[in-house]
Amino acid sequence: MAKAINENFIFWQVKRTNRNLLVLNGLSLAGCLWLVVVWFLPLCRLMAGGARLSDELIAAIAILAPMFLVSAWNVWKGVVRAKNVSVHPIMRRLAQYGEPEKVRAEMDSAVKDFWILRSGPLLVVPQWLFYQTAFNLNIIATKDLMWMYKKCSSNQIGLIPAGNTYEAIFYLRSGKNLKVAAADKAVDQILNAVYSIAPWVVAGFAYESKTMWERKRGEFIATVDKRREELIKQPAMQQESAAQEIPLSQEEKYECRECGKEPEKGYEYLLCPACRSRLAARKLPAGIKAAAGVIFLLLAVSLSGLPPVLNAAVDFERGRRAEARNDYLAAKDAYQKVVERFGKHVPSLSRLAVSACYAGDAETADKAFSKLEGLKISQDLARELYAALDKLNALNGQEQP
Amino acid sequence: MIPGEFIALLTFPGVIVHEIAHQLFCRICRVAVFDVCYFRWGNPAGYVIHEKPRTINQQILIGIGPFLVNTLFAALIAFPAAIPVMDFDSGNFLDYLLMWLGVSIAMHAFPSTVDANTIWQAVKNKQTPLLVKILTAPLVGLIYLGAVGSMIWLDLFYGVGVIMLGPQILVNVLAGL
Repeated sequence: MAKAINENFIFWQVKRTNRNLLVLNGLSLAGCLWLVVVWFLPLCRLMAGGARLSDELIAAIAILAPMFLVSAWNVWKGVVRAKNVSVHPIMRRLAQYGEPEKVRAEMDSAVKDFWILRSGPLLVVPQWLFYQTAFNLNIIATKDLMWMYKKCSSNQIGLIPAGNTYEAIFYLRSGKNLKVAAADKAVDQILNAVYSIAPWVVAGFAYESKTMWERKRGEFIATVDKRREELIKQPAMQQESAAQEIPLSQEEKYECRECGKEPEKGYEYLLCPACRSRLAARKLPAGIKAAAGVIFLLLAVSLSGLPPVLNAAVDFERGRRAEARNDYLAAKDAYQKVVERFGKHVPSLSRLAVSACYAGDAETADKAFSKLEGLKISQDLARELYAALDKLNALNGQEQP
Repeated sequence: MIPGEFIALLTFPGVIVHEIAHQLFCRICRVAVFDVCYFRWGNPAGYVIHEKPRTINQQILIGIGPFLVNTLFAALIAFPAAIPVMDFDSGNFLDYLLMWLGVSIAMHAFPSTVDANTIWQAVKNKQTPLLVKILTAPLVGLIYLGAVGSMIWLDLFYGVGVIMLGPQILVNVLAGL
């Protein structure tokens, strides 16, 4: 941000974000072209030679096409914005505060001469907050600030404490919020700096404020606007004391914190029965309901195919048990049912071959052995199969192969 | 060591179900919920902020809710997919998707150490009946073991165990009929 404190702050931000956009997407485009050369073109050549690589080709197109289109689109946008800065989103955003050139000049002047605080990507000047990201500059007018507080999160990896992270959270008139992560003291400095230029903003976290923001946002905004107007009307000397008088949290009263009715007894948090029931029965977001619906649909599809698979698993287990008690006839019948469902399942085929050999069923054993041909089996299993074949030959009075 | 955030991202359905389970038990116990985050990039990956429950039993139930819900839900989801994948090596895309969902959800069955702390505070309370203390103390120990064990992938082993165990038990029972 040090470079940002110059006469052309806004233009510098426009250039910076546009440069980042062009560099990143230029690299992505170059990577895309490199992949076309080393991956896509060789695939095409192999396919032209008669190789069956349609799946690989589809995968290459599915990856490269969106990557190429998005990168090319962003590079094009970057080039257009470099030629004409007035179409840049930052410049267009200025229009909502008045004549863009005039607003830009005001902002540049404020940044150059009156900046109050710089903290990482955040710059606080009278009337404005600027928060820069790699591809954007968030511009917030102080009159749009409604609520702010400090958030501390304790981190843990397993049972080991991994320190705390701190954020200054700002809620805006639009309903959106801005989170500024910084060190503990830096967050305090940020909030103090903002409070010094916008003393009407509700400061500090309270569930009452959160509830009001979520459910009665219009009322919340109207209250803050009223406080702002009152403070602006007052002379400068009175403003400071008036700001101090603004209650950040109300005195505790024995009433429901949501609606003011008589609270339910037996709870520490004061809520009436209706409000408690409503908060306890908080609804799930629509997205989660939709995702759950999709999962249950997939589950239903999967369950519809379960009975034959479950029967096969049960038959396999029954075969194993029959084999363990040397009932090879029953084992053979059980394994045969499994093989009918999973014809290439090596354990089932091999157990069927072994059981058929010991049961003296040469035809079934022959079929099982022929299905095993070309499939990979372990050396131990091969030895077991040869031993079973010997047993079958002995039973049938044949010479060993 | 892989950062917890990446593991949470790979298994995000488990985090969501974990928080829904807390919320569900808050609903059953009529405990007001102030804020819910089903998933985010950070530690913790999700959270439910609720008022202090009226009774110790409610507090314990809300704490161990995810253990019950995640375990049962994971077993149910992975059940139809586990047999073709694990027993017959013949799973299709849907089977592998359900298996991933099952393992992800079961991996987040263990209550977090924050949950364990809440349960432990409830257990330590003088008003807690002795029987509840006796039943719950080992559970808290198990939860801490699960939290420590996540460093050696105990949660993953638990997840795989949950999705394998259900079908295996059913197959063994049916084979004996």
